Amino acid sequence: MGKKQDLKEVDRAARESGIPPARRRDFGRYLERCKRQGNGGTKNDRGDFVYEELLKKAREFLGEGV
Amino acid sequence: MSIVIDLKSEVKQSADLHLLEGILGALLGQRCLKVELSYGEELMVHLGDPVPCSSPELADETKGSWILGARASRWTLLLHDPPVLIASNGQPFADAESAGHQETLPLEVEKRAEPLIGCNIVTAKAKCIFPEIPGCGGIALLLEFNDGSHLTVLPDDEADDDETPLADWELFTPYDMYLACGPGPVWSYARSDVLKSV
Repeated sequence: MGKKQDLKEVDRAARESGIPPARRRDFGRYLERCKRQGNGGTKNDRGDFVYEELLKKAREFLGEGV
Repeated sequence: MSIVIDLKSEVKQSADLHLLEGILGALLGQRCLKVELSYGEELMVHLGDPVPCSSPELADETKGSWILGARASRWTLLLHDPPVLIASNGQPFADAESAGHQETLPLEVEKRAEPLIGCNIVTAKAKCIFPEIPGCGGIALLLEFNDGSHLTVLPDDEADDDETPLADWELFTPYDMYLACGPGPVWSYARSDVLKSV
């Protein structure tokens, strides 16, 4: 159930940040790219993001700074 | 019997598999551009024409005019040549190493799926599964490519009674619309460029 919960949190963070479904796909790709570049989150040793980090990443993604 | 579907018209919620397969018919002949694993290990299959990503953070990437997202569902990709099975079942195989299987990193999965690039979809079908379990039925997606490769997306067999349930799979179209299937044996077709209230 971990994957499902992770994606629900991404969807929630995207909605809260005003990211529509079409750009939510890009947002997920951006999060994955951050992980692979070593800029992952603190949720676990795989670099997944906690919810507050997802909101911060959403602002980055939208070019709103942090 | 002929069917006419306006691919810019919303379908709020439907269990009509005939209409769903009609929409999926638009995938026939679409070429696979890339297969990627997104955040949460979500399988994304990019199809159709390459289009630039509009997000500045992904300015160096292109995406498909059609994108299939498997969300958290299980999926299997059976490649024809070389014959390789790539699967996501959410659980590592028991005795995986001794059986010659291994858990694979996302980058490696993307690399192994590369033979699908350039292949065209020849069959796109939707099928109801687990209809006998109340509250747990779902719609599976079956795609066949012209080289004989197959992609199957299987919805969860667990009920999702969350306030904001996750779709079992989604298909983004070039028309600012997207298809969301599940949870359960229902689907919707809605605008992808606007946020809908929850």
